[in-house]
Amino acid sequence: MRVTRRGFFGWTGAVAAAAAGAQTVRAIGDLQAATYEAELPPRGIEGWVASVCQQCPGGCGILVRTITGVEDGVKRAVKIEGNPYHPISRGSICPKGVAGLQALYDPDRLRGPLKRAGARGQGQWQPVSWDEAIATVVQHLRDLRARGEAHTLLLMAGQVRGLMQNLLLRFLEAYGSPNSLSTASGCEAAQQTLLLTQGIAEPIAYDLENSAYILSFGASLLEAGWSPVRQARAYGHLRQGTPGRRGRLVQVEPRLSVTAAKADEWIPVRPGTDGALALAMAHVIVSEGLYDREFVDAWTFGFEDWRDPAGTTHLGFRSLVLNDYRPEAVSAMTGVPIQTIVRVAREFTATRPAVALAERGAGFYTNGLYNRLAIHALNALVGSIEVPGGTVTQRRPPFTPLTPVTRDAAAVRGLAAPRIDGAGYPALSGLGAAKNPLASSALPSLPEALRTGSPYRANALFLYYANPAYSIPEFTRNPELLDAIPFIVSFSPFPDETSRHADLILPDHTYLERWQDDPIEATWGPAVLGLRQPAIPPRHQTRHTGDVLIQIAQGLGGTVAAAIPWKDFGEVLKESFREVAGAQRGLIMTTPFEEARQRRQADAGFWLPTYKTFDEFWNQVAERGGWWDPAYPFGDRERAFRTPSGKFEFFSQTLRQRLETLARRGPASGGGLEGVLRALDIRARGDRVFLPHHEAPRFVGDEKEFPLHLIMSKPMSLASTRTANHAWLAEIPDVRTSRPWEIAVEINPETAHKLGVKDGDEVWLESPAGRLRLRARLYQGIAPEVVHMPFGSGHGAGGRFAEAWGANPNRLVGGEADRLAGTPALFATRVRITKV
Amino acid sequence: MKFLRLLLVLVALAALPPAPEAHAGERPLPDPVEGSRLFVRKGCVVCHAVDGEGGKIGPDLGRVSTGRSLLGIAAVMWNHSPIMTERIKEVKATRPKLTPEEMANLFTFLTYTGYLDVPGDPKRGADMFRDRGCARCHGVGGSGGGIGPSLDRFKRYVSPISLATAMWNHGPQMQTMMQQLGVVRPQLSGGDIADLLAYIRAAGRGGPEGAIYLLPGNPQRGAQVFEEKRCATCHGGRDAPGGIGPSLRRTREGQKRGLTEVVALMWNHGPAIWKKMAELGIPVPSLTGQEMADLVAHLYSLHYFDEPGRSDRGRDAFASKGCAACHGPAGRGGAGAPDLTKTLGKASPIEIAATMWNHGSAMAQEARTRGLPWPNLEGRDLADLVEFLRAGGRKK
Repeated sequence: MRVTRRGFFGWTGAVAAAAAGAQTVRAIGDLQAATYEAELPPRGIEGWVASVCQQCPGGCGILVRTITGVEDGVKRAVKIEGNPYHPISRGSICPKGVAGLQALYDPDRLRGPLKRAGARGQGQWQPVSWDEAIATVVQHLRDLRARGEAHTLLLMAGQVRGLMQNLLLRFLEAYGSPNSLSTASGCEAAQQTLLLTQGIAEPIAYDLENSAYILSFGASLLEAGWSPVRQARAYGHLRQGTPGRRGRLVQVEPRLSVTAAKADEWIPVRPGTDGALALAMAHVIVSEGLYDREFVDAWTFGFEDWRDPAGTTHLGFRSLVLNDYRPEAVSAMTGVPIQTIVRVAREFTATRPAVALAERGAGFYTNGLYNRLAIHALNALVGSIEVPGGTVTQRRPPFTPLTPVTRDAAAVRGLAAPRIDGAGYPALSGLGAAKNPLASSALPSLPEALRTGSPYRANALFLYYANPAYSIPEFTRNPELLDAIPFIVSFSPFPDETSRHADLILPDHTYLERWQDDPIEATWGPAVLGLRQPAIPPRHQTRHTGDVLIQIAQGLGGTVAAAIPWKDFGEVLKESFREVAGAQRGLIMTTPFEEARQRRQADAGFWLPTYKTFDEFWNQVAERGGWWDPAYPFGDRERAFRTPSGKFEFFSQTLRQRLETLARRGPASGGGLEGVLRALDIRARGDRVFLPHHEAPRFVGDEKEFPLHLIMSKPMSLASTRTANHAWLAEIPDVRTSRPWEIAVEINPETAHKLGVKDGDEVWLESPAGRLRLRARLYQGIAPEVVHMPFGSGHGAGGRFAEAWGANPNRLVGGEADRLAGTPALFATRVRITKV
Repeated sequence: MKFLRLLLVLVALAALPPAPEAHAGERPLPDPVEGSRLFVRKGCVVCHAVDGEGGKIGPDLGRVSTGRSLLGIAAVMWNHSPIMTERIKEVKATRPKLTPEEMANLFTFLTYTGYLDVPGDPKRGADMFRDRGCARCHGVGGSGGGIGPSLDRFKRYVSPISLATAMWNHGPQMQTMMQQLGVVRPQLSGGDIADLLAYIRAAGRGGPEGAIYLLPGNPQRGAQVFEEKRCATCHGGRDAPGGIGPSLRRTREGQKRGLTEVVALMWNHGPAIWKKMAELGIPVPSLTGQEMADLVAHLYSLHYFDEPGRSDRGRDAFASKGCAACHGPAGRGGAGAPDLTKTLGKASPIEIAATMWNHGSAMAQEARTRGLPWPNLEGRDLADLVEFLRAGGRKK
């Protein structure tokens, strides 16, 4: 029998499956063994291509090893390793990165444009030529514009940034639609935290490497956070990076996660009470005078009680925390002992620099934004804002802004329409606006808009790296909601749940086959611009979505074509890099030593390039993997605080201004501010509305009928909804149970005992929204009133493996949202467990 | 495009032999960027750090080589050659060979490191701005005086060159105004200027975003500025002392005279300089930012040049250091050692440095075999030895 490389991996899968002894797993192993039949690459010439991974948003640098066959001349990618020059990952790589080959050689990937042949959702397709597909799109969009309905085109994008984002938004603007929707809800909430406190509409980022004390509220630092490899490296640096100093990590969350297990201290907290805990710590810090007086006095607003120009006295943060958040009361609410609250608060102020992280665990409740505000207030109390080891804001590559789009009459009319999801402060009109006054995008409101046709009917949808029928709970449960949109185009390279409802699929290349810029976002302070370049030529008749968009724009003609005048995406890319080359700052990615030299040089105010011409610059970027600028302007207060006061605002004047404007102009104006607060389900009144405070969280499901809270996590291997079809990743045993190919529900043994459930029993996990049949795994490290499920598997589409294992917890998640932020409240569902 | 006119010659002049015109056309100018790459590629980084980044086995070269001349660095490498050979063996590395070009790039890199000042402390800068009277006339971030212009416009400049240029160009008016207001002219150190700029950068308001970086000054152009602006009238040219003002090339061995220090000296001595210029009928020159950068680079690079040695002292050193034991009393070879008057007599200092390094290991072995002590050299000794060998092993 001939054993091939891919066959070998199939065999290992089969062997592992047999060892596990589960019937379903064995079946999958056999399937895998039968699937990867590609032969070992023939004798050939080796090459290495520097590029950027796209298995998650982390933006790690990779080196792809290629072999070009001597006899057949075909170039094959055979291995992916980390790129030591890339500052995000420095040669490290996570399992998803290694498994990128299985995206490239995915047996189920789409091989060319497809037209729907059967009913929506049936998954019946017929091939179509690119010309015909693009002509179809152009015709639909042209008709829509002609009917004065340009605004009814929706763009839904997930992981998009850099020039592709610019191109998509530019297309929408020229076409005349305000409806750019994002499935990245975590970013949205992080962005609003900075908007309300610092006046910056950008996601918060952290300088973890230089921190000495990390107080993390639910951040997934060592699993599948925003940039897992960078975070793991930062953790290593925290522990051992500075001689003589071992940084401390304290993790607050209801479950002993991987991050909590690696932390110095795990503080279990009741679901939805993270903000209260942070405010009790603030109480200790303020009452004991441990805060950074110099920073608070000079650079914050609303700390003390204050008087406005009309002479009205307002509540300050000091009075708020001293009166409302005594550790004794908060301890009862959160389940955290008083001594722990006091001790951690003191540690946080005594160890500098210290930083408090507010991420998914704390933010996925109906009070998520207020929780984040409370946690970020701790950073202000110790002055850890825009300082080494504190919070930072992501710098961007020096791309020159594109020339303004010329809007024709149809575009002007379309852009004047309110957003369909009611997001966006400038468009404060229509019913939806009352729901999401801060959000730039609010997907939780879309299902209702599609159901009711209000504020208007959506007529077309573009899907770019977005799969809401998997990742947005209401679409997960009711994907047929999408059928209210008469024309759907997906650009996905792979089959997925949402694309099943598309009329056309125009598959993009995989990330290992295309050119693309990759500027990191919300990750770190310095600007980092990776260059994604093809490791091998496209394997199938796929097409770069940037090129397709340009061709659609050209087909539409007029101002839309004029707004996107480039020949292809490659032209935009090179033009943009030309600007970076001429910006007289930063450096081509290089060794840590040389980088330290460059940083030292920049600190002294000089810039000394390694290239003389653009061609030299481009060749070096292609060889090394990208460009970055290590210099970060710590301490630039003007840039850090763009609030009305020019300071960090404990009392958010931005929030006050927006809610009061909404009260005057919005549909709830009959009720004034009171009406707005009711519409947003905010229970606080008076000045507390504008201050960080604990809003009692709302949960879907009656407490008696559904006594348990459901929380989720993303395992390292399933950070993206697209990696479930990579058999190598499914082979990785669960970090706690050591079982591959299994998604189970974790229950506290005490709770399980009461329910008569034993480890390994099959159970029904049920919420008011739905139920799943799962195996139960008992875990001491989860609070008795909480159960946990991993997220990322259990697909209804996406390929033979993706569809064969796991379960999607979103099927159970109810329709609650953080209405202020406009983000889904993924942890706000109660469940119950019954034995099968 | 602007970046096309870049020059990688920062301390280029410094690494050239004493007669640069003889070699300038033959070799590429030394390049600190290439030098930093060589530092990694040749394995120097395994043992040595530069300003904290790199190996910990040997000393941090960002600290020990700063302020040394070319032959001073060569002498340090020579003196430590035997111990370095041992350490290299311990870490199972290979002692690298260096061509003169590579040596020039490495030395340029190490010298350039000393040129870069560390960022200032904004808190200290704020105190100074208030306490030393700057705030009487100037505003920053909306606070301070309004007699002089607001300093917010310097917010974007990371290098103190622009601030220093304005301080120089407006120095006489500032002096007059300070006298009128009874403000005592503050004496500044290099660190003070960095602190002041750090304060302005942190507290300044307005203007576009983004830092502005400068290309490092070009010492060759700086030498021209030095002549054109008639600095040489008092301070002398590179090879000739001026006599009226102090020579600017002398700094104590090992002492750094970085960019801000040069700038601080210009500020502190401003009134004396202007007075002397008025006496001599020389107009106070106005400088552009680039001219100031070039001038400072030139002044900084001066310490890198070794004063010419003396052949008679060289002959004595050749004997007393034990060189003559192998190479003969006139350096013309013998006992299996080569004729140095031929191999090094016409060599440039950087070629001598490279030769000494490349043969250092074998010579140390030979010295051990013969029971000879390893000679310790100073930069001064090397300059004398060079002259001695140039003279063909004769005492002039």
